[in-house]
Amino acid sequence: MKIRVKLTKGEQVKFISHLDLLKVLSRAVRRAEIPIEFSQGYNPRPAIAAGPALAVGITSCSEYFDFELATEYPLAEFKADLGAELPAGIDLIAAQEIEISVKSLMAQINAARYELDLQLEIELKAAEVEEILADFLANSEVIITRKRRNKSDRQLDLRPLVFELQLLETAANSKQVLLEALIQTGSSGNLRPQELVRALQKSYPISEDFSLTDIKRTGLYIKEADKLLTPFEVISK
Amino acid sequence: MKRQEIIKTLEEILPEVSKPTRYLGNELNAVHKDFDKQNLTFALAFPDRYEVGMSHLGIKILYHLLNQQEGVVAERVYAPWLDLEKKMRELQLPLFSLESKTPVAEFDIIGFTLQYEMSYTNIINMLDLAGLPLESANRNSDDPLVIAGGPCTVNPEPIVDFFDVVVIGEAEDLAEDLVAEYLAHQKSGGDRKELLRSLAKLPGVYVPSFYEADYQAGSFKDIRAQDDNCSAKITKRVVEDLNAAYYPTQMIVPYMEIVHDRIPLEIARGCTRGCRFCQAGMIYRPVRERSQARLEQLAERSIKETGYEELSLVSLSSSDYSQIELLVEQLVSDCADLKVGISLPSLRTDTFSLNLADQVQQVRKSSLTFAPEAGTQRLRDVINKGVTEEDLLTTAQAAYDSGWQRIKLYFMIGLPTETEADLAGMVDLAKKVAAIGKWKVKVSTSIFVPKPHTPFQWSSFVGLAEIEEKLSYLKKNLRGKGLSYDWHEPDLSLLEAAFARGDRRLNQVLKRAWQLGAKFDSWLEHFNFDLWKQAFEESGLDLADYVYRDFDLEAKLPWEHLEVGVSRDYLLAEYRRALAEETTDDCRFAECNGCGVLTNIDIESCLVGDSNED
Repeated sequence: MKIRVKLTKGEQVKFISHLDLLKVLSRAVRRAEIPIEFSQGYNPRPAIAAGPALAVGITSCSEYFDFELATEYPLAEFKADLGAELPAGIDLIAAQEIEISVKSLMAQINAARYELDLQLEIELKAAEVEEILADFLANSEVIITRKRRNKSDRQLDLRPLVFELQLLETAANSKQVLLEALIQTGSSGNLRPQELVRALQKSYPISEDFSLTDIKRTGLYIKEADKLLTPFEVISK
Repeated sequence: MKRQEIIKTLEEILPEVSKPTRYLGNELNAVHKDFDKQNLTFALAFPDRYEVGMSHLGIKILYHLLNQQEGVVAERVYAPWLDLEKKMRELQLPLFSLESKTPVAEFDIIGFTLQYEMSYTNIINMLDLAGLPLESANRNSDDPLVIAGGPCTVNPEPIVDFFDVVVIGEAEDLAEDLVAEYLAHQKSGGDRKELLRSLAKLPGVYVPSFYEADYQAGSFKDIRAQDDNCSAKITKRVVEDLNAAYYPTQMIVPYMEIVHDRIPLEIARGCTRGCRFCQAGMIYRPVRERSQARLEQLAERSIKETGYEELSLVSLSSSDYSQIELLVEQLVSDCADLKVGISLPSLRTDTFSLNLADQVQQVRKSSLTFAPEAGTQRLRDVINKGVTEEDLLTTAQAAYDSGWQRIKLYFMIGLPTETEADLAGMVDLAKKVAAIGKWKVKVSTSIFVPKPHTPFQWSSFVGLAEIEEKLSYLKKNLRGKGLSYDWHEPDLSLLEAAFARGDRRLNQVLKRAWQLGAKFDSWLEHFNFDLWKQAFEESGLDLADYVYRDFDLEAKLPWEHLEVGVSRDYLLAEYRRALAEETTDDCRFAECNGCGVLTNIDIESCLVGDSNED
């Protein structure tokens, strides 16, 4: 059987890399004595498949993993047993059995929602911030340069990859804003939240004082035209 | 800086340093006690970076052992990597413990482990980062007690100025006494000198400031206790019964890959093979084995409490464990269902060991390691490495036949009496192994460093120029199909040789080298030999004199006030046998060689076969 799980990646564990997080999960599964399926071959690996990787430093309240089990295991027990073995910062929010043949999270998920906690260089009222965001979204293209390891830089239009961008709240001092963005992720077009921030910094009075720890992932979705579904809503073939 | 400020500052700077998970301290099974409510606070410091320090078994044992005690807390400290250190110095952030982020200077006791000589500058650097006076002589009752432990304490002289107390031998045996003595001192409210006096009464505790060294004509002459309350000889602590001894199973599971990223299951301590170059083989005697029942229990618990995917059977020579076949068979079957792999490091070069390796690596036969150490039978006899060319070739052939694809061969160069013929023998042997089939043979050489308390403690270190010649010969000749070669930096070994057998005068060199910028010396990219040469020059000491010298067989050696069990007579006899190319049998299978450990330490060796009744 296959179980899809939604986890948090909180402050305490935000610096753990994607691969190390998978290790954390597989060790938790072993401690919990959950009958996980293992891959065949020289180096048997537990059948835990992750959704899109989260960059080191970013927190999340919405990470998904598929666990394939070797034998049937009651869902409630799975939740309790795994939940009890997860380290602080990783909380099991929900779990659901899915069909074995369901596409992988990596193949399904194509949109991600982030909260961006930004410092402004000048004081701005909420309306002024909203004006900036509208101005940004009115662009027909926004070209950024993406640096790639061991490859030449690449020019990229990020505008079609930004589905939504809005103001969530402004701080009392008006020099700090919390934005929310829904952007494309996955193999057919991927935008990193920090690239969006950098594009904003280029044209608007947004401070350079920004790091990945100012980002939080709040949702991962399967976007079909205008419909936004969670990975728990697409669990049968 | 207070704890809360440290926490806040770290939140700001950690996103900007490499591998910030090193500094979090919230790994699974890390112990978090209410720091301010403890009677005794203990910082366990490893003078290298997290990945190295976290791999060390001794610290794991002490950490959990101390934390088991009510009212006592032990927290970890590693050398911050250079990027964090830079920020710490800029922001005046003091060295902190991982768990509670308490400044190290606020602990009652700081224990450093001396694992290798080339980590010494990191110790000084860490004391400096902690904001403590570097030398013991400059610290007072308000400062933490700074203690050294670990294998290099069998000659701590080159670094004693920086320590108040040195523990000789297995510190876990002393931990309880040390805590009790410290707590009694706290109650009595005595000063630091009184504390040191009371600690010096404990067996295995060496308080260097109570001893004074003499030099004559530029050479070490003697070291003596300054007053009658201190014993002339300090005898190492030893855990008598490994089965009864505490062993942690709830080990910390790091959030990042470390050097030895697995459960270490210590099956035995000590080794009786008697390789004459090997310090561990001498100083960890007598041999003590854990029972199979205890090991099975420890294995089961550690897997359950850590979730690790691999378990390693740790000892100096795992195939020597009396009932290793039974043990491996049982553990392999226990672990198979859980998909926990078993690894067996430090195997001997024989088909028996190969069968063991085959048993634990039922699926992936990647790389096998053998250490013939020397290239000819003559030189292997000199070092008493009881392995023949036939052993090696038969084992290698068997390994190839059973599907291994890579083999590593470890040798030493610069061994006493080594000639060109021995190097030619090494090349010849490696080529024979390579010719066995279509596989990869990787030859590694390290440079022999004479170590205290071994039969070669009197031997000179081979000359740098000579090493270069040997290396260039090997680089030229260790070529061919499937063959590759890597080697150690000679400069680093030269310094290791100086500090391994050094005396107290080297403390000033160490401090000067650190002042000049030496740290993380064992990391090649940070090692700068010129700094060390300058430090020696400025201290008026001759590096050559420390390393290129056969020590006088009659003279007292700078570490002979420290008793590790094997006697001087035995070491000397072994040295003479070495020069005469005579081997000595393993006392496990032959009669007693009279190394002296059982009488000098007053302990029994304990093999599993003998003690099955318990």
